[in-house]
Amino acid sequence: MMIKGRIGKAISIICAGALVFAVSGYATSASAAPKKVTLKVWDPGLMGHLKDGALDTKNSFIYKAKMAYEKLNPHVTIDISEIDGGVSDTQFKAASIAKNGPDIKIGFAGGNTLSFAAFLEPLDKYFTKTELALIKGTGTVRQGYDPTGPLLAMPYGAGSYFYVFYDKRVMAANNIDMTNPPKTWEAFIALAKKLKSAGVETPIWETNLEGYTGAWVIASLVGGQLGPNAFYDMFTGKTKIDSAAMIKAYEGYQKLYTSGVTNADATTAGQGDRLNGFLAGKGAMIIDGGWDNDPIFKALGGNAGTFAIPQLSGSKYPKILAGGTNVAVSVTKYSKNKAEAIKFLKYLMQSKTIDTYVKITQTEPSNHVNADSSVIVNPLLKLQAKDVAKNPQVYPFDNIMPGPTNDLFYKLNASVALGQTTPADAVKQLQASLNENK
Amino acid sequence: MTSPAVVEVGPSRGPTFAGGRKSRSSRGSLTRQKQRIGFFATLPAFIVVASLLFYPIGYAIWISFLKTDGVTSKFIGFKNYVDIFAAPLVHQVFLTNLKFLVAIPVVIFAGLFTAVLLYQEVWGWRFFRIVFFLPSVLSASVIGLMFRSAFTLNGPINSALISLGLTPINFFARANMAILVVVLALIWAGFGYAMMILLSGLMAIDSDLFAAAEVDGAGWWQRFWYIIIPSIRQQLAFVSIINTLYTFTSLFGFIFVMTAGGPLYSTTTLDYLVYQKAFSAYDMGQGSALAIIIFGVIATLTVAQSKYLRNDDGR
Amino acid sequence: MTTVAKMRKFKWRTNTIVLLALLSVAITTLYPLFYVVMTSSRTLEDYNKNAYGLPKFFTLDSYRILINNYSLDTAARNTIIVVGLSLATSLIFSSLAGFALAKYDFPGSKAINWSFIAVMLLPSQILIIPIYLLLSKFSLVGHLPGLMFVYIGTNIPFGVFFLKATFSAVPDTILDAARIDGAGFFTSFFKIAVPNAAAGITTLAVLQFLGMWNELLYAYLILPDQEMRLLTPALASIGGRYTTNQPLVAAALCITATPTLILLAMSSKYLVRGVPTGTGSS
Repeated sequence: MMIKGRIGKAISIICAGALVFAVSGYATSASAAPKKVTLKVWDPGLMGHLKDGALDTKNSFIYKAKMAYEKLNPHVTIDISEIDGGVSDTQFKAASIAKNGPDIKIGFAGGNTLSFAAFLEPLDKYFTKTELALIKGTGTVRQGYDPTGPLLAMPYGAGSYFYVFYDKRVMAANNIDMTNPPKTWEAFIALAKKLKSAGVETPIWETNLEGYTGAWVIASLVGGQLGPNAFYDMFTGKTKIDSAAMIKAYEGYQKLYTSGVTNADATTAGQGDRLNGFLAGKGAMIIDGGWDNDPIFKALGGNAGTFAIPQLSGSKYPKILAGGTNVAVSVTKYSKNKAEAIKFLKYLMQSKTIDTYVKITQTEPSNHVNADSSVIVNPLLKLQAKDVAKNPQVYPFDNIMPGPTNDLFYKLNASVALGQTTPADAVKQLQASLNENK
Repeated sequence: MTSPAVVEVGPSRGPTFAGGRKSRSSRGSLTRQKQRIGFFATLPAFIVVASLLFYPIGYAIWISFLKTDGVTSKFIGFKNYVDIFAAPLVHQVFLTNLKFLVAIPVVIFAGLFTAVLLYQEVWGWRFFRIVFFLPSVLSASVIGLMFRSAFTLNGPINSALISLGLTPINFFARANMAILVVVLALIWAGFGYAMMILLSGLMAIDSDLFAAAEVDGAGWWQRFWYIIIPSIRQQLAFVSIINTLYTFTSLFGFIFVMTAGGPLYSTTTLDYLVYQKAFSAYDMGQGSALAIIIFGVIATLTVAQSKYLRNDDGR
Repeated sequence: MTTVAKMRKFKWRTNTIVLLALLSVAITTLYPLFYVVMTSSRTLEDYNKNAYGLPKFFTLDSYRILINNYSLDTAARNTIIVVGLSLATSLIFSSLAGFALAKYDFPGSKAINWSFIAVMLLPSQILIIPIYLLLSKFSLVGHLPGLMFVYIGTNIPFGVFFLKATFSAVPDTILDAARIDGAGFFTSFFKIAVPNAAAGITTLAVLQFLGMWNELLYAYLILPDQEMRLLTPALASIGGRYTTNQPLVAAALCITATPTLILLAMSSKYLVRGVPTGTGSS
């Protein structure tokens, strides 16, 4: 059907133009009904709730968030993979190198997130300054812990802090008034000694095979002396790990094991027995953290009490809390659906969404400025949330340092508790390890 | 009986027999046909392995010469190797691995002992075979947990010690005690596996050999030493090599459950270091370099064991 | 007559000694396993009160939880497919190669033999990432064939090494006799070599089954999605050092261990003792 001549040419151009216009018009109206997108989310069990060891998809935060978001955005499907915690790092790294990992990665804030910096999309350009000001804890996920460095993830939740939990009944039975919990580390040890002489067999239930207790105690005792940036400064090299403050902290920590206030196998019992032992009544007190608020409350109910790990006497920051952001949500650099992923991330960062997270998990307060604190029902968490709102915090050593240094840190903690390494030697080794691994 | 064997071996030895080939052409082509079919029979296995592993092994070797985080990389030659040879932690961990090698002769002995017992085929031997193999069926973490709970301060072993009037031992607090527990766990977990392999070797022994020996008036001990042991040389070598390999490459998961690699690094093994370094955020090349060094060590040990334990290829 | 009677008496005495020895070793292996089965049928509170004592009640709750929460049927099906096919392929390829390397010398056979051994000796941790990259390039990640490829490829070197040793023990005399009678490679293989090496092949099959059944790392890496999960990885995520629900772990362990034990028990029928009579020894 060839139309000849100039008129024909003009008409064909007009027809072509009309066709293009029609097609693009269709496309525009089609983008009003947007393309179907599937977002891959990998979660190493952090935002999924475990029940009897299995993933409880009905009660897991991330699944609830998924349902709600998909309702609002029917063109988006969110595909959640629960990754086994033991291989999640390996898996993410391998998949990222092959560029077929997830769009959104849920992981641990701090050193873990930073170690994947090469694969994570910096988020600064997607959030306005006002938006960022609403979120607390972004310092834990900036590259190099530099306040001006790229933001590698959004922190989720205010995190867990290191607290001492105790059984109120044991205290009451020994006429100990806990309305004013021990104000210093020395007072805490003294309290334990008092319980021991009153006949309590195990004032403090301890399981330190892996050396994790050391991580919590050292974080507290050093934070009390050096303040909120204690370990950031050690990481960047502004201060030394090999320092008087660290040695003093280790000496205080050692007293925990040399005062006769723990169970006899404190140094060789393992993490697997920790919570169970306390809940089974094997000790009056336990040094632990907010992540166990839920099981402790469920087991002991109103008989569970808690107070923050106290500082050494004479500390410059006596009310500081050790702990911080646990969970961080990132978008991958190689994601093919970045725009949609960011949209979902923004949804997650809304105050209401974080409140849902807090409500379901009852392990950490919200990190949003407009948080609704009434969703907290666990009294232990209520107390912790109040502390977090008014007291400074120090982000712990093992959230910040590189993997091998943390590994050494845990082992040294166990060894110092056993008396096989001196505090002075321990900090020297840690400094050497950091120098090697940065 | 031996002449076909001579012909088979001949042509593959090279040009010396070329002159005689023409006169034995029929046998020669039979041999070439044999060679061809032998080659083709091996081919499927070779192709699968090569296609899976050729690229990964090349990649691993290449990475060992780089400093890389998986995305960017820098060529640094042998620096990774030098750093590893110099690292004191590597030395300590290597020595620990050597200590664990102690378990191997014991595992082989236990496996051989039970295999010979089962070989007598007393009543219920099939049942016992399954029972002895049970530990090998369990996953490493379960065995680790079992041994840990058995040897804790309040566990059954210490309770037994107390009832015997001895002082309880804090097994995991001291390096050598912890190593002892790990070695016991290795033996318990591994003897069933060795037993199965050695038993299959025993089963293949020609019963006529025993009949002949009995006619010659050989006693039990002589039968053991002069018939059984030489006949299962291959299997003994096999078990020895596999266990050595295992000691250098697969102990970590097992040990970690029991001791977390401690106290300090005294029960940490080389494969833990490899794993840690191979997935390090900043320097994956070190992991490869370490693995290749370990490979060198294992290969040397394997060749040494092969020469010592096996008749050369038994042909 | 008297010598025979004497021999029989001797046999009785050794038999009892042997039996006693077997029993004492058996106790060391059975007790912990008995303990695990016991634990799996206890309630969590009961276990926490007294881990080593006798249980107060019995319950199958742990098993029920596992079956309900872990979609074990899909996992079981996946495992049967992956492990079954991988085992079959690996055995076939390995026995062909093992037999050829043992009895059919050809140029390069020594090199191939040592290359299989060398591959076996390399620590596998450093191969994880490049293998993943390779599979990813061929879009095999997240699919069962991807895992099968890995299992077959990593099982063959060991299989060839083992079967070469096993086939070496098959007497040349029988094979030569068969060849003179006109038997080719495959006839020798199926009619003579395999039956003779049945004990070895069965042992290898059990060992490789075990290896694949308990394998966790690649199973997780290559099949991250839960619908594709195999049985042991699905159950293993509840175990480990930090777990606080030991009865559940014990129940999971019992489930994972059972098929291997059944396989082991069944395979005893197929182990043939010694060389079939009728072939003569000269």
